[in-house]
Amino acid sequence: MSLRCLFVVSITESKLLFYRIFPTVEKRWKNEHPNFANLCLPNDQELLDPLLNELGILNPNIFQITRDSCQKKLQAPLFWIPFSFNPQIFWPVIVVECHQNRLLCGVPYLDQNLQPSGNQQSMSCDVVIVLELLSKLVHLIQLPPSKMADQLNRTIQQWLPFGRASGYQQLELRSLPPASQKTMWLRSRPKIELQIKEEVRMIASNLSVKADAYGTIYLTVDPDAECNNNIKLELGFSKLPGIPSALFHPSALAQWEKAVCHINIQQLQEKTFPLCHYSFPLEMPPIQPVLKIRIGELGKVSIFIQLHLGATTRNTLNRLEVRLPMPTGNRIARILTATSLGLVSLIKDGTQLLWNLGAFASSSSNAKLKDDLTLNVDVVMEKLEASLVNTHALSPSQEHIYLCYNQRNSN
Amino acid sequence: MSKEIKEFNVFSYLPPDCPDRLKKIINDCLCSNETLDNLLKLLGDVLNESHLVNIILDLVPIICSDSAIQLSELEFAILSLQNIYNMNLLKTDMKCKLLEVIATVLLTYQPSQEVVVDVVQFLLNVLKNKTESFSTCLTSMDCLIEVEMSTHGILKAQIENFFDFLNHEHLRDKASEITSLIIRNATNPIPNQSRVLCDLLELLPSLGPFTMVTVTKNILGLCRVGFQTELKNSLDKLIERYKTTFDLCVLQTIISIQECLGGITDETAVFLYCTHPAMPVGRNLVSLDWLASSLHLKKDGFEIRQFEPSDFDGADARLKKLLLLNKALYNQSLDPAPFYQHFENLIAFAVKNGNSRAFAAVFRVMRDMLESKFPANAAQIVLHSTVALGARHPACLPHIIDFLKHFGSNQPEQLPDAIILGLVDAFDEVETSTVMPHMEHLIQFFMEASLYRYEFCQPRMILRIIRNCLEEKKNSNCGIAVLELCQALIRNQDYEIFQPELKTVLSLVETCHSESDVKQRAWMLRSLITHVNTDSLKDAFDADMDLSSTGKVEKTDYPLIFVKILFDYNKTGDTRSESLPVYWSLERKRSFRSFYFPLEISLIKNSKNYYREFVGLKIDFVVDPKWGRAEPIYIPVLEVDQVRKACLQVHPFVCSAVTIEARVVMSTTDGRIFLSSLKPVHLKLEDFLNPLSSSKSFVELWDRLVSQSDKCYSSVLFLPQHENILKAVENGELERFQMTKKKPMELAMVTPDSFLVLVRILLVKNSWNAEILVEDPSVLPVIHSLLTEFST
Repeated sequence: MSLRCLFVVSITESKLLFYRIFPTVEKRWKNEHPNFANLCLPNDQELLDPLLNELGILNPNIFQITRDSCQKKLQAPLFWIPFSFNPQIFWPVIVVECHQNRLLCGVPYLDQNLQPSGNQQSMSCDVVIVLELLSKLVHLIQLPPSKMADQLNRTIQQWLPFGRASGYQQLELRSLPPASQKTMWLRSRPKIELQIKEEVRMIASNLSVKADAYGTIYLTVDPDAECNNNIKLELGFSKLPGIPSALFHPSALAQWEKAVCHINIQQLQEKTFPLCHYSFPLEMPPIQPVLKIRIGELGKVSIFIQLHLGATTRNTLNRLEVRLPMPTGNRIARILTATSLGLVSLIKDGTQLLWNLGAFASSSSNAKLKDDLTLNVDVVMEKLEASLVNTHALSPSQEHIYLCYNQRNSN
Repeated sequence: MSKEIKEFNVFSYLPPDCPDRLKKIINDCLCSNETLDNLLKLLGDVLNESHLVNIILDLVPIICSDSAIQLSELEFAILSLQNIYNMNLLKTDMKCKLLEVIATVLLTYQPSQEVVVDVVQFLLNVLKNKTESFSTCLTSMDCLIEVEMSTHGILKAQIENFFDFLNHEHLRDKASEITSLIIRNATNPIPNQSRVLCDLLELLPSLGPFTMVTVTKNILGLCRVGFQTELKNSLDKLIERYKTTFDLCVLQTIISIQECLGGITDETAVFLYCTHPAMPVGRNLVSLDWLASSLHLKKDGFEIRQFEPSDFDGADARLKKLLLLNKALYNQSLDPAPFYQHFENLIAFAVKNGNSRAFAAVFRVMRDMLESKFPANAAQIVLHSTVALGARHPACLPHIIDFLKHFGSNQPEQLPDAIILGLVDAFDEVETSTVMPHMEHLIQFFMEASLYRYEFCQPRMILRIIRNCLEEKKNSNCGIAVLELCQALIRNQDYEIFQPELKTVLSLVETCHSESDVKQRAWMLRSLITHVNTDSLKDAFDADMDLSSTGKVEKTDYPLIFVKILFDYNKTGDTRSESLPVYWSLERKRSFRSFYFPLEISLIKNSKNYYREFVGLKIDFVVDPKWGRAEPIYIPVLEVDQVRKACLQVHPFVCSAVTIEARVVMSTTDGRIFLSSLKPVHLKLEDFLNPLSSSKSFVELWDRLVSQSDKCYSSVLFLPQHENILKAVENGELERFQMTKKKPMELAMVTPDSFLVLVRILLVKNSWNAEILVEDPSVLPVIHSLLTEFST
């Protein structure tokens, strides 16, 4: 499996930040598809608009037959984009969402023509390979555009010269000099660094509260460290009620002993990589929300939200976000007054109220979260089309409040 | 001019730190051929200047891609680059880059076989050279893979060169990849193919993830027969080594082999992976797809609950999980109740979310339900969900149109008809102000409806809805769309039947619209349908069919036509027995439903009647206005031996049996008009009660109604001859109201004014009683009379 093309899109700017065609692969594709030999992969706006449309970023609420037809099989993260000059033929693209509203996209060489059908099994292998290839580049996508392009070009030349993994990276790691036989105990900077990024998500309503935590442990090995052959780690999850559901990097062998996980990394395949993805349900979420809504006259609605940090919980948050969806068929026309820390805004056409406490939730301002955080906001609500009013017959009549917060530890 | 373009192109690829002498050389060249030539010369002179070498090697493939470069020049360039490599003065990284440039230049033009063979030999020599570093050997193999991919079979004769590297610590991965690729591309088996395949399978668990999945893809097809033991051994090692991995390449390898050996089992991490919240959604979707498309999903391999969508899921994840849930429940013959619940949640999610992708998920699930025919009442669920969604959320009408067009071939024939009829009916019942904002979608939907048979399309009802909308909003800008709808109705239906309504709508378009173009088109269309008609038809319509006062009507003492009522659509077509359910909920809007009875109308052969054709038939149905009303039927032409389908539409205000008198007024082509009485139509009480979708649970409905004390009225009725009612059910007379086949017998029905009736027939102290629960006390006598009728 090979990549025909790789590109990076900035959603906010609606702009291509990087575009690279793999010439040998593209030539091969044209040789094997002589009927479409003159069909070049699109570039610039010709590429952007159909792509963003297919992803539902453009025209999200308008039915598009090439995108939303019931007979189309959803193959995400593989998408089939119609050519602008002929919507009957498509080009495939695998899309990975990255930070800063950027998309890393790869056009795979698929053993089939220009239609979203074909041997699913064979296609699945190709999709998986491209997805894993792209995931190795994701960390570069958050760099400033010029630096990103430079780094991407360098990585592609070394690691994907023909749109496939060359194996050079593995070789580089395996060819490192063997670990010294003599054990040396010297004070020095850490040879291994672990970084934990954890997110808690929670949906609370009058009827129920659902919350779970999930996270990723990243491992970085010092480039000069002579420990590439065997690294042993112990991860303890003793404060959890049970063993979390965890998945590990292929180079790691994990063995659970009660709440302790013994990890043995035998064949280092990368210098920086996600070692483990884990998740566990939270019976008692660390933050308890209280929601009160008072309906006044002329569509005026007063909303009160209070967040209370559990007494025994230590604040390690660096992002905190509360979303309050409006009842179906209603939207907020405008915010009259808002009294709170953080930023209050409307999203999704006013059908959601967003309270972003990013800056105030960080652990450096721990004191802020020891007291309850409150939001008092007066808004003007308006009904959407009359036909939507009766939709509660179809939907559960409960209003939710969504909370999402991150915590990042490093050692 | 040409030169300027070339120079510009090359310069645009130069890095900012490009040395001046390189810039000068490029600038001095007149064409790409010369530039390439001079760059190669320079490269030979500066092999110890890595920075300059790097820039030149970046530029060479770019210049070679210029179509102005001659073929001979390209072949010369490849040869020159090989010579530069053989000078052995470059650093390792530049040697690797040089090899890649050679392969790139070779493969981006149409090389002769001779040149390709030369380059292959050159790359093999690099590989055989013991003094070469691992990096250059690896790059050489990578280039050879690219050549083999472009020129299938070119390395077949060289395959043995790679066997030695299969056990090489650093080159094992690339050697496995190239060997498997050569085997895959070979048109005939290679020597010792079985042994090589066994070696590759044994190596599989020790390969890197990318190589592992590539090798598996290349050779698995060849290993399906005769390699079961080797596959099993590799699989066991892979599962043992990677039982908790999150690498998709490794998981893909494992499930590919598992599928080959008989099915995906829960030993793999796929089941944990596919719903793991810490993984990106795209990766969850890929692995959910594996399971959903698996041919051999072992039923003890997973817990159903794992695939139930959660509140945190978006539209895509909900869709994939529901498809998998449906498949899993079907495979294990389990109760589909969890599926119903999550499907309803998906609909609620789509309505709340409002975006097209979420609605698409709903319709994709429905399509899957119909294809898998699971749950058993999939068609009923689809019908009620589609009608409810379309009526309450007209923004999703384009989805419904698409859904109707792509049902698939093996679906119940009457389902699209029922959806069309249900929706037209629903739009007729809602207030005009509700549908007004969605005129555009509504007209689109009605255009689609116009393709259906008259009794389902209901053009008169459609035109009434459009008329109401036009009257409500006189300056609406949908004039052209309305005209197109009128044209579609004229084209696809017997427009003479609804000519008056059509004219009214066209007049409204003509008067309401400010654009002269639209006005003119409306006027022309109206004139056209008026003047293409026969005089007799025109007279009939102008007189509003009340011809009794004209004195020209000849009354007959014998019926001229035969009207046969078909009580169930199913009896005419598909043998599948499905009743059309009603959507019921406590929160719905109360309104009287219309009832439709399909009719077959034919001429009665009678010695007194010698006409073989009648035109302008109008059948009037006379009912007591207190009971309700029945719509007349127009038939433009009826010939001998012809059976016309039509639909009797009644709007009852009370729920009771009724006898409807009928008469027909019909003309002959020579100007005579006959009035004939028809046999009365008897409609039973149970014909006006709607069955409830069997997706509902009787107990749940019962409890829910009881809990709403202000909306619940109960009664107990003694059934003197209970065997009669049981027999009636056996004969199918009440079967459509039966919720389950189990005892006690549970019946559920909805009255025309949308009140729910629940009946439980059970034996209490040796006497058979019916426990009745209704939403409104006025319904109790109706149900008493129904049950009494069947039990006496």
